[in-house]
Amino acid sequence: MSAQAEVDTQDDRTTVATVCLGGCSGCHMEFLNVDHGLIDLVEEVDIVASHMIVDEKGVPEADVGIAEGVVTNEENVEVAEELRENCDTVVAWGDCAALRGIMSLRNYQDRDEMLEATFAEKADDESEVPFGDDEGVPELLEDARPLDEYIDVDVYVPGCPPDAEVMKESLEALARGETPEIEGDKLQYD
Amino acid sequence: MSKATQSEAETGVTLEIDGQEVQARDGQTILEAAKEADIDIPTLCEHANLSNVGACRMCLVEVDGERNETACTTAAQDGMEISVETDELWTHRRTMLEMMFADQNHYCMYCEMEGDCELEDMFNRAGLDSSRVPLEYPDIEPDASNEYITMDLDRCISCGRCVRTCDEIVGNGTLNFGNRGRETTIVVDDDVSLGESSCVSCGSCVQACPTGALYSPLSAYKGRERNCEVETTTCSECSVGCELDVYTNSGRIVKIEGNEDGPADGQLCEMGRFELLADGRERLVEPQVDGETVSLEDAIDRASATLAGANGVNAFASDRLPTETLEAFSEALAAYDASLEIPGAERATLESEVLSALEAELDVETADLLVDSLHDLEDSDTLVVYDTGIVESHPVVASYVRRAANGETTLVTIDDGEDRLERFADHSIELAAPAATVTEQVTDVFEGGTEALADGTVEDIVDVSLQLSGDATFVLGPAVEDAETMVDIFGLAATSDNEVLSLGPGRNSAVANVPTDDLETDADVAYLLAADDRDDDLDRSIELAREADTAIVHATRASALTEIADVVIPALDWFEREGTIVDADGEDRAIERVLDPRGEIDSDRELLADLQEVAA
Repeated sequence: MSAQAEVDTQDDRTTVATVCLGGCSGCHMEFLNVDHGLIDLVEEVDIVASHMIVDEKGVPEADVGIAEGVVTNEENVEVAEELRENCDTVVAWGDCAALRGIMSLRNYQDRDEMLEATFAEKADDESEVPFGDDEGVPELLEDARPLDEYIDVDVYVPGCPPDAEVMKESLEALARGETPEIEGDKLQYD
Repeated sequence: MSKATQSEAETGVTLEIDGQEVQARDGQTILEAAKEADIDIPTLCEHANLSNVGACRMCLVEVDGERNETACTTAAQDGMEISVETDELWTHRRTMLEMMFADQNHYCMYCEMEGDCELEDMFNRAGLDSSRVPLEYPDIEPDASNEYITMDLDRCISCGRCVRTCDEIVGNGTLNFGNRGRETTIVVDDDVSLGESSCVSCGSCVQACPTGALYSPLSAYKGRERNCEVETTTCSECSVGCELDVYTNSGRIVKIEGNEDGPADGQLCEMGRFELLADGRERLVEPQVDGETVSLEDAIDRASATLAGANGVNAFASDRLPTETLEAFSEALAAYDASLEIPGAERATLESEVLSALEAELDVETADLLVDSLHDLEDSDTLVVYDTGIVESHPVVASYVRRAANGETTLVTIDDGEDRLERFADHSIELAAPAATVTEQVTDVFEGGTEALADGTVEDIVDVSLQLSGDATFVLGPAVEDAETMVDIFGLAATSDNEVLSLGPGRNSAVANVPTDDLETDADVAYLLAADDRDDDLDRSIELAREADTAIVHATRASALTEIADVVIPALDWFEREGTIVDADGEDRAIERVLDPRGEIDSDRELLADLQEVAA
């Protein structure tokens, strides 16, 4: 299979890593709606990390790093910073990452009261808020904030979710080395 | 060059907008001139029929390459060179939009206005894809204390359209700006909730709001305006005859708005905008006899047999119905020798008699005596309102009265109970028998000048008389029921060359021409064409049903009336009817079918014709 190995080493496709921060995975779901177009798309891009497509838990180095979701816990901050460090171009996918989105509705409530109400009061007597040094669950931040309050963002694709076609076109533009022009009807906030 | 063109050229100005030569009239703003030339200058705080304040800065234009002005507040001048679509201006606009976005809590994805929102459209135009301004997350409580209007200032951009609408269109001044600078917010009266405020729930602010800050829960999430079909019809909730723009989607009504190009500047009242939508009573679809569902034919046969065998028949019809239906009802029931009552008929008939008598006596044309347009109220020097009950019965007229009073007009209110317009009145007079006393004195004044009152009478009456020196308009509310008062007021208007706006309790003024009678005291059968009547009108039908041994009810929705009915025949709802209605000015107005009836009944009139035919 030496021919195959040769193709792999000559792969000059644009590498793309996507991560889901404090999001609902709705943007990733919508991306799957590119549907048959994904076949054409992977001619130009190599998706090296994306939790619905590729079994890769970390944030590998990539030309384009895409984040869905708001920054809402300590892990999100780490992943966002890792994305910035490992990727040349960072894209904010969806309203949460670009403009804070529906996830930031929690900002209107007291963090601790909300956790108490969500975890301790909703289940049985044994239930506890699953945070603390040894719990292994990342600590919730005081507020949920859009991506660019933590890292520099190069491209914004707002929408809840953005249209699959707009996601595809923006990736194609990035693969060509261009900055995607998302304006007019392609800009959406719902 | 002819004289006419010469003078036109003298009064006009020529300017250039984005390279296009545009003609404007003197006094027009740059925005108005651009609109007439089909040039789209972005706006948010500008709105039909409102004054311009330049609050949102969207209409910033570059003038002569040297300064930026708001096009909505800057007069077009000869030789101006205006730029609208420059990168620099769009950068300014985008910055303003980012500040609006960051300052409040705009979550388009679950906002009921999404898709119809002018702010969202402007975000799109300006290409807003992120906010460079730190987001504020202010903690704002939505105000859902009003049944029909929800105010969620999370989405407010302080454009002031609602404030100006409440002031300039409705004349009520309930909504105001509070605080200053970044803290500026909309306050209701002296910072109370909408539900406990002076709000008249007309919803004009909802119609004016460019975002989802003011919306009606009746229409929320029922569909986007841009996906709706619109049918314009005439409201039959009172005799003003406002034009309703009814928005429908998939056979269901989404919302009702006032026609902004119509006579009332887009104004409607609580009844026309909300109550018509809020009727949650069960819709009647099947005819019933003694509680059992029957065919329509059987129901008509039974009704006919009952009517034919009666010792006496009392009939009642809703005056929300089109003239043609009322006439068909009158003819059909005449075939059974029924006595017919229609609300408002008594006053309308009396009024037409008074007017005919005056025409003969004083050599005046009735048409000259009646107010042509609601705007005439604002042009009057003095407005005299007899019966301030119009605030509830004819709310849109009350708006014009308030508008006039807020302006130059002197408002005199005369009422024997609570003065509903006291806050706006220059003179508020409480009189048990209002008109007769006052007009007697006032007539003297018109005949002999103010000296006629030199011997001193009730101080208030002097006030009224003194104020009546200019153009006056008399507004007669529904409580005025006696011929003497009517003769006085119409006579006064006729002799003083003034006008009257007569607002009876009836909705369709055509009832004056439908023969009605005093009801029989011992009728054993009642035929009640209650249609979609509610409240007092429905209570009258119930009273008549109780008095009779057998009640035939012809109604749109289930109610206490249909529960006691022996025969129930479904009727059309307001949005299914068609025909004409005569408004307070005596004009024929079209009632258009908004949605096709879903039930078996396609026409009330055909059904009544069948009933008449069976009798013959």
